[in-house]
Amino acid sequence: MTAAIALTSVLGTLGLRHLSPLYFLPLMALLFLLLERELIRAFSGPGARAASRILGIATLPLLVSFAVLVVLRLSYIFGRS
Amino acid sequence: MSTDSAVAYLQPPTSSVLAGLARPTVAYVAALIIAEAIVRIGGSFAGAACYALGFIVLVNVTVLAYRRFDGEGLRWRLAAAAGVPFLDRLLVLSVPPFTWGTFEISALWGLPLLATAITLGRPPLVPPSAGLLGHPVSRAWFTRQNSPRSWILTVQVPITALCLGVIAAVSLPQNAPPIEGGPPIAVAAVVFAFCVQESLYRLVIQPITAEVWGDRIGMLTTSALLAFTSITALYELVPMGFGVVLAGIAVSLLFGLSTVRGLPIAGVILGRGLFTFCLLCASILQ
Repeated sequence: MTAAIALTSVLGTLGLRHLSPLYFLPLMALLFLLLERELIRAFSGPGARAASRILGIATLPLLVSFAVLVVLRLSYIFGRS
Repeated sequence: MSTDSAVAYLQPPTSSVLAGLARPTVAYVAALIIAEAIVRIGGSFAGAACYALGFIVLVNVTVLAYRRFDGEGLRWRLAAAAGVPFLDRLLVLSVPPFTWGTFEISALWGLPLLATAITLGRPPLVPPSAGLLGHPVSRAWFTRQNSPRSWILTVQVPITALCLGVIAAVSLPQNAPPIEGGPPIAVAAVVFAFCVQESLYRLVIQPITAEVWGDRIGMLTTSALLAFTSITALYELVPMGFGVVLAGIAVSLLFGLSTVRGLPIAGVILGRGLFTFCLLCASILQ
């Protein structure tokens, strides 16, 4: 109960309750690719290194998209206070 | 016949290569159409989820193709290029809008696309001849680069795009609600996003498709993909009509043709900016 109240309070403070779930789709794709990259990095060899590099390139635009989301939320929070 | 490597790769592909790519190409086009249909029927969330899934699948296909052929051949590069339209649509649908007070407009997807263009537009994915100020995709067509005629052609590309933009602006549906007048920085952000999209397709995808299918089919493929993504992105911003769609297709073909002739890509990007600016201004002033 306390955890739920704390979570609601944090979400309210960050304004995340007003965010559309649509904005989190690139984040989900990013998490999936990062997880896959970490799993591949567990294997050694040139093939694994190349795969890890390709996945790293694929995550870059999603990382930038996440950074845009964070900057917008921060500007929203600081603009509101 | 020249033995220059930059010309040699543009020879028509063998029939076996084309036959091997026929099924994946049909599946790819079907996936794009289905994902866009889901956007229209099921809403943005379901459609963006489809595009995200397609992007992840194509990234993994790229990894598998790269490992299978040990980084040689064209298939992994083609798979990497095929992931770009899926990523493009995912970002257009899911990046938060540009907000200015109560004004909101979808424009910030240009930033992650710029990161994509910078990351992908270099070897080994794209031939090193690509560049902002003129990149001879077909050097054979580029022999008149330094003549006055080619300079005139270079200037004509943005001027023709501007004319097509005016035609598209005139043909906007009259009964559609206008865009709420936003700050000039919002218009600049939208124009910037479309310019980045144009440069990504012309500098990354077109050289790869030209290498696989030859100049003409590569140009047509890239222009079709760009027309699809740019028109669907415009659909989020301005009221669409038949004239706008036709002008969007025409301008994509024009830019594809000028790229394949080796004209400076800066003129193409400027032309895309002018075309988008015309449409936005017409929709705001309507």
